[in-house]
Amino acid sequence: MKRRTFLTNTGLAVLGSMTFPNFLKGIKLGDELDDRRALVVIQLGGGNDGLNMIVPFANDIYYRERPTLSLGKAEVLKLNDDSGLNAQMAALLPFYHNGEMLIINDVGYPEPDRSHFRSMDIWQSGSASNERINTGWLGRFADQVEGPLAKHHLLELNDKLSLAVKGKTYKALAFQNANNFYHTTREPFFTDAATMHQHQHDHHKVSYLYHTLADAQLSAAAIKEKLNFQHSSFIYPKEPLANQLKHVAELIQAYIGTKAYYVGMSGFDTHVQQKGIQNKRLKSLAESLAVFISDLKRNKNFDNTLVMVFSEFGRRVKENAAGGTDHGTANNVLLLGGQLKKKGMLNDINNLSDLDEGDLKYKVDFRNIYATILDRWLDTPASNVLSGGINYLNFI
Amino acid sequence: MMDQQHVLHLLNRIGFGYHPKLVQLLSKQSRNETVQQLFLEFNKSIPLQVIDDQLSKADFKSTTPEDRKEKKEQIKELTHTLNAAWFAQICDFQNVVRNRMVYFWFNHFVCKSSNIVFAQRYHNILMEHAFDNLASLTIAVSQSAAMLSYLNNRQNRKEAPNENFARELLELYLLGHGNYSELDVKEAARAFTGWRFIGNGVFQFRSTDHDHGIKTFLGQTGNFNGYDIISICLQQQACAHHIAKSIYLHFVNDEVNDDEVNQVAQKLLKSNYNIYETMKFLFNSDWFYREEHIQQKLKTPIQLLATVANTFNAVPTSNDKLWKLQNLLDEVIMYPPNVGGFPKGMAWIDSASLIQRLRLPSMLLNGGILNMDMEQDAAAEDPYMMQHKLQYQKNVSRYEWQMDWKKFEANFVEGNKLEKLSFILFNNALSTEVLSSLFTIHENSAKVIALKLISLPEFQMC
Repeated sequence: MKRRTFLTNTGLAVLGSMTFPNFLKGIKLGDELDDRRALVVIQLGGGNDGLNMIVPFANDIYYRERPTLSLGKAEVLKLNDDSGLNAQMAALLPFYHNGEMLIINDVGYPEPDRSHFRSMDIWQSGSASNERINTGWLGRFADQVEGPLAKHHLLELNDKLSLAVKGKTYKALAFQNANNFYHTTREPFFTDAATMHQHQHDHHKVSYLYHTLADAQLSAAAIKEKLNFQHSSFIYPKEPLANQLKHVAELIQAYIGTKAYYVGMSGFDTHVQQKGIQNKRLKSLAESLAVFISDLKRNKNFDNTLVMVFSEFGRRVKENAAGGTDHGTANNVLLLGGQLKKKGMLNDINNLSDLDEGDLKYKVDFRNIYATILDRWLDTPASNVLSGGINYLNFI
Repeated sequence: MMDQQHVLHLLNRIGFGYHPKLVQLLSKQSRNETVQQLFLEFNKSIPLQVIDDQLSKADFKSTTPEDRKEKKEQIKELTHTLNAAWFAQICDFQNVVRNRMVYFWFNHFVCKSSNIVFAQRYHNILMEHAFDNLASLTIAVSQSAAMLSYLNNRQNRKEAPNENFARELLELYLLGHGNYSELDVKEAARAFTGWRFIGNGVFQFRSTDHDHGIKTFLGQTGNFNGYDIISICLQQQACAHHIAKSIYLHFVNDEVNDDEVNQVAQKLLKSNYNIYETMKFLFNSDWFYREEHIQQKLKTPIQLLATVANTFNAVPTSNDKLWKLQNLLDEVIMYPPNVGGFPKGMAWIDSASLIQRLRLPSMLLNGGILNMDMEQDAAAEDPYMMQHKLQYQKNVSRYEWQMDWKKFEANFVEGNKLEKLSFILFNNALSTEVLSSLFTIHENSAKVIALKLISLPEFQMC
């Protein structure tokens, strides 16, 4: 892999009079130009009800278990004889039909955990249900890169960092907007303080703060130069996720060297009055994604982009007494991209006849998806990142 | 006599940092006497009464769209009032010990309610039971309208069990993940069926909704109800350990010392989960004052704000501004992001939040201006940067606090200002070499020195 050294290539002019502490020397950017592939992970927080997203509309059990919550034939768009897409997600239907969106059914893991936090940790860390790993799968992917790494090798479009993008030594950059972020990093007194601090190493937590500061200043300057005030001309829906995706499209177009973007959407924990709430969320999701894809296509970036949409668990097959559903297990994962090998669905939809105490049994380990992405999209041996569940699926 | 550094360490952890009056009151005593005095005299339970407890949904019913808008506005204003009242308590040194404990419980028994009456009552429950024994506290929390709504136990009925509350009770509140099975969750949920509230949030046990059958929970079998489940949990070593760890992570260090946590757990068990005795034990332990623990906790955003407020005698100029500020820093008290609570330890820090935090003091106290010496200011050379800076300073006015710099400076007329301030603000964590290299001789106003000091990363620690 070819890497460029940051300090020799990106304009030092941008940095102006800023001086950087010694520990930043030799920091490298990610692959550039020769490999522009990037991953975009969209996390649906709260446990999205997959059964009302990819709907088994020909299944009597579905209607029996969900007398008020089930979607009728008029509320779904037929995908095949057994399943249909929630009609609120019509914006995604063309991508499904032309092989740019793949559905994987019953994705989960053995001994499922129904706690939001625990299950989200399992998904984000890429661990088994009975092991606790306090680093994220993408964070460990970044840890694999030799030598000092640019802070924005991974980027989360958020105020806070998720476990998924925290490695053992590497932690991703997080911001909502690159230009604003750049200006907030430029404060001469902070730079002076950071420069001073190289003499002090005893107080390790304070050192961590200083390193974080200096890394951020460097990345912010590099990204700002490449982004150069480019704005997407596409009109995105008014929805936080859409804002994030719009900025991701701009950053992808600017080729800043980021290998994975992490974005999220919340509001899927539908214990009460689910139907209206989830339909609205799914509509927003689909419409945001559709504009994002058109935006990427216009600039010929869609072939270099792989999008993965997941949630920490699905929901119970049977609806509860409050018109909602409780925490469940296996769920659908959506993959979108210009280079998908497989069209339609990777595996059949669940027939709901073989349940585990009212919950779906998983058929595809989520780590198989990670392993495939790591190996075939991010060019990193999955065994360096994952401790188990390594099997390859045939989608890229 | 207690070491001054130890007094500051104690105040950082038992309260919300340095407070001039508190330090004055506590000097010249032994550690035992200091802890005793704090627990006796700075520990009153004062309920919040800023919201009329009799308000109900009917009071906010609207008929016309204009009316609805107005009612919505009223609720928003009351929500901000409640939030600001709790922040004012946090900044009040007179009951600092009680308030810090309530602050801790808020992030242990995590709950939120958009119903302002329920939210105020929940706060008052934590206030009343903060130093009670754990069983009473847990029962009071479990029967509060706020919690019954938040984790859906009001929807938990025999025919249609809802496991949400039972699961979090075991996972987050009492036992910790891994110390119970999926079956225990289901059985606990059955035991809590029928716990709900009526009218304006009055707890009710509805027998017809309750599952009166036999349950097996953590190896015991019987016709258990909610009280039994709580009591069986408290019999577990895992429970004492879980609570001890939660206390330790909040009050001592993000990195667990097994022996020290174990001592806290044993104290909990021996005292029948008496929180008052346990906390006194903690603050009287020699190990609490070990070098490894001093200045090793990151301040939460609220601790940062409270420290600024107390040290500089500064106040937010409106409830609305205070609310926006907490939003900016991602810690709106009484409104946690989810049942896992606010971030803990260094998890607050990433590039963006760190920079936000470093700019906070100048934003609150000096209109966003940190470098008062324009020659140093690179912005002057870059028009775009200048524009951003002006925009920034305009934005900052949304958050700005009120403080009297003249009064502040008057406290530092004599002696070495830098030394004095550095001690108060960092508990001597900054070396003299660093200090002297960052501060030039002509920066002799206490204002300039103080502002710069609290803009250093070291100020983030306590």
